[in-house]
Amino acid sequence: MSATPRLKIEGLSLSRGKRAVVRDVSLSMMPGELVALVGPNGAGKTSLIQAVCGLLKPDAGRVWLEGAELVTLGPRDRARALAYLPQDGTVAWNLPALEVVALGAGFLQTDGARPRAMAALEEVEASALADRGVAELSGGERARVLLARVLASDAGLILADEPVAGLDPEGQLLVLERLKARAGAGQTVVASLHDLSLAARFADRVIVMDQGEVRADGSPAGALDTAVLRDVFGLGGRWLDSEDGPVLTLARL
Amino acid sequence: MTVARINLMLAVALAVALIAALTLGEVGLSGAQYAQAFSDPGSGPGLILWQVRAPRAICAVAVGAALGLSGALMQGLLRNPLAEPGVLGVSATASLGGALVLVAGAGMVTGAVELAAMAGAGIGAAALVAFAARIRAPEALILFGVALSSFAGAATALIFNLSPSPIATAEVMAWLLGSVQNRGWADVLWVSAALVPAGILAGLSAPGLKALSLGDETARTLGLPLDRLRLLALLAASLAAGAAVATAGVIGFVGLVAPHLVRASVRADPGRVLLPSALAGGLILVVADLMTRITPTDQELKLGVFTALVGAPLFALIAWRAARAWRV
Repeated sequence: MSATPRLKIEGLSLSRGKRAVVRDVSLSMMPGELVALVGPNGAGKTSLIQAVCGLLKPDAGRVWLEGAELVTLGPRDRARALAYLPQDGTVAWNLPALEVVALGAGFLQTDGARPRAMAALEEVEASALADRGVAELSGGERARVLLARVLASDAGLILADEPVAGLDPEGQLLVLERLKARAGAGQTVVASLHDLSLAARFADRVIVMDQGEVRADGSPAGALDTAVLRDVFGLGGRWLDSEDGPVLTLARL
Repeated sequence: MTVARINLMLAVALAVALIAALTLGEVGLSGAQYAQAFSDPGSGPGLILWQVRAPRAICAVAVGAALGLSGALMQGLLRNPLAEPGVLGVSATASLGGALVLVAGAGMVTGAVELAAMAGAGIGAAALVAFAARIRAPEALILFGVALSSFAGAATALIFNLSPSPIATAEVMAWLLGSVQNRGWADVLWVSAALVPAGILAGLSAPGLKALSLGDETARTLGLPLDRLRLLALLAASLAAGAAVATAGVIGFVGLVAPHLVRASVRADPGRVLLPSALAGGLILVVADLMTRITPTDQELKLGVFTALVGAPLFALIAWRAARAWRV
């Protein structure tokens, strides 16, 4: 008998207005996986993530977290099961970074929230920012703080929507290394990414979406094969061997 | 500075301002007369102190506190530093509610004006929240508030326009200019009766407002029951703003300025800013009312006129700073 999937999606369809943005998606994710969700703009990545968070109501289909159906879970139970890092990193007020991170431990903060927040800030090498107001941080610093907010939760599932968008190369590697480490420690991490090379390098599994449908799902080299790169992204690509494992190089067709 | 310390400091300042409001006035009282006021509240000096100055000053504090609380709640709920009942039209919809009752001839029915003003405030605030949930741009919310304010103002003007009684119209116009002149203990009771539940509801919504700093979606994934929070904060803000308008007419900008004065001292936490905002609002209004009383003019300055004269430039300053933050 196999273990309960951390996340199971069955026949999920979703529309925004009259436009179908997710069409009949079925997926299952196990503990310890770092899954890269890739696809062109408008492929339905964000909508899929938000539906799993319970933020968008699907037209059809069902979602289970740790075997419990999403619609049966109250707000608290959902918060315990998943942590969501949105693409939009706006924080309305100039709260101290530590306070923002501590919110990751739940909005009704318990005594343990502060130490956990501090540990999460250390994890992203941002302890020095703890007392700084988030409005005064640079884009890269704020991204680290917001990532730490997600890491401060001990939810089994982390859903990160474009966690490396707008970051410098060092920041991109730091974020993906930390997410990879969390997957290694048993959490399930789903990250939508535009950078296919980064996805190929860090992910255990790549899911390619296009026009709301899953076009490929498998190991990086298996999912991002020549046909998928050509049909979905309009790109030519080659896998090269390197000391750090296979590397994907891309070119316009 | 800790939150407890800023609250204590504001409370002390408020007490000093209240004593000043009791001792200063057009009629100068001697030490003996003060003694008489305390020993015999029914005497001339006693009446001045206990039936004129005291209810007026406490009214000013309560109305200011209601405005400060309402402004802080609206700013937190709408995530907008320019939100305030006056600026966003909630005071205007509250006035419209009150004016409807007055023109309908129900002004003498106990509590009718107050309840109508609260209902008007509630409708206005609900419209703002519904708008903010759909359109994220903070500037757009301000523009919607301007539209709401103009519309409610025009509707109020229309009521006067069509009203058969010019005397009633003049009275209502004077009320709308904003003042705590000639307010008695009954008014104190009314505004306090709204302020207490508003304060409790505000306290319940405080942790949620902090989570809401991260945006609607993220806050929901943190376990925040968003609809419940909106309801709590809306009810609190409407009760407070409606009570303030019913008691003292439209007094603008106090709800805007008070939270800004204390925000840095609570490290910008939109939940913790609520109590100090209420205290700062009370302090601002009792001092402002004292200024209108001791400024030597033939016609006493209207409080609402005075706060707008001081508050509007401050609004422009805060807008300047907010616009620069939004551009990033």
